Amino acid sequence: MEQAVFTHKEASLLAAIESEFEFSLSQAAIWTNMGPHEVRELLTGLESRGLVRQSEGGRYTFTKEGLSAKRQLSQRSSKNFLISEEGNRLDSASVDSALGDAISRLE
Amino acid sequence: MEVLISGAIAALLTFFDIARTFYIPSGTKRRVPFLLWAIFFVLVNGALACLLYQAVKDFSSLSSYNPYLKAILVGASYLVLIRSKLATIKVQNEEVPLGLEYVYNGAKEFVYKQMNRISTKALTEEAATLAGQKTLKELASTASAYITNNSLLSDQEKTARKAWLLKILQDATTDEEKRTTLATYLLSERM
Repeated sequence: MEQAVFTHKEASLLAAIESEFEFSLSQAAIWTNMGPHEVRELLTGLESRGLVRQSEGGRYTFTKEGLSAKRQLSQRSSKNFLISEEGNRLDSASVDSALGDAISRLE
Repeated sequence: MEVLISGAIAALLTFFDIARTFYIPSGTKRRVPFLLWAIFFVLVNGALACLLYQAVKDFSSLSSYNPYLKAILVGASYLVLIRSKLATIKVQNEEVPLGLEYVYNGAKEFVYKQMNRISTKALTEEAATLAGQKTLKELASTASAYITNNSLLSDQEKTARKAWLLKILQDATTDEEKRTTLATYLLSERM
């Protein structure tokens, strides 16, 4: 069987979304550790390849092909690798400082 | 009495799985249909565990156990037992496993799909309401404090979560979508 080719980010998204059911863009952003804009772009790409489809209210579901791609990927990667990779190379003091600055700049 | 212990334990395990998987806001009208599906599935699993206890209680391998211990063992291992393969048959030279797993998984998927549809709609509605009531600064501050004070997260997970929060604030999307994402995060973490 031919294996689908994914970018690292697409693979991360497919692996991180555990739900086989409907999910919202915000939930996908939370589960994948990505921003909503980035997730929407990735989901739009996957939708054009027939792997996800948008349902009622802008929510998403995986198609049969999408679920099959997820299964293929789950054999190759652990579900939380995105979080653990980021956690390893991030410096907590600089993240705290950047986040504090970003929040204080908000109105 | 023993049969009820098996049923109660299996029902409790089913309840824990539902509670871990779904979130349903307390003040929504969608709570009633969600709870009906949840109660239905908990009761079905409890009833099946009772039947399972009746079916296996006289097995010679279990005969040395105290009846209460036997009931606890059957209830606790119900989900494993119902997924076990009872036999295999040969179809066109291939071994095909026979068991209840396929039926059980199909039923669970059907029920979980209904509950997920209800809970996702309710969460989306509640997140939209919260996002409309709070500013981005308020939501981001609350999320940051929640991550800092969360005892279940490791330091590494806290850093990763805060980096994600920063990513949301810097994301090239609308203010409304950022608020909705943070509101969804706060609600699904059940604050």
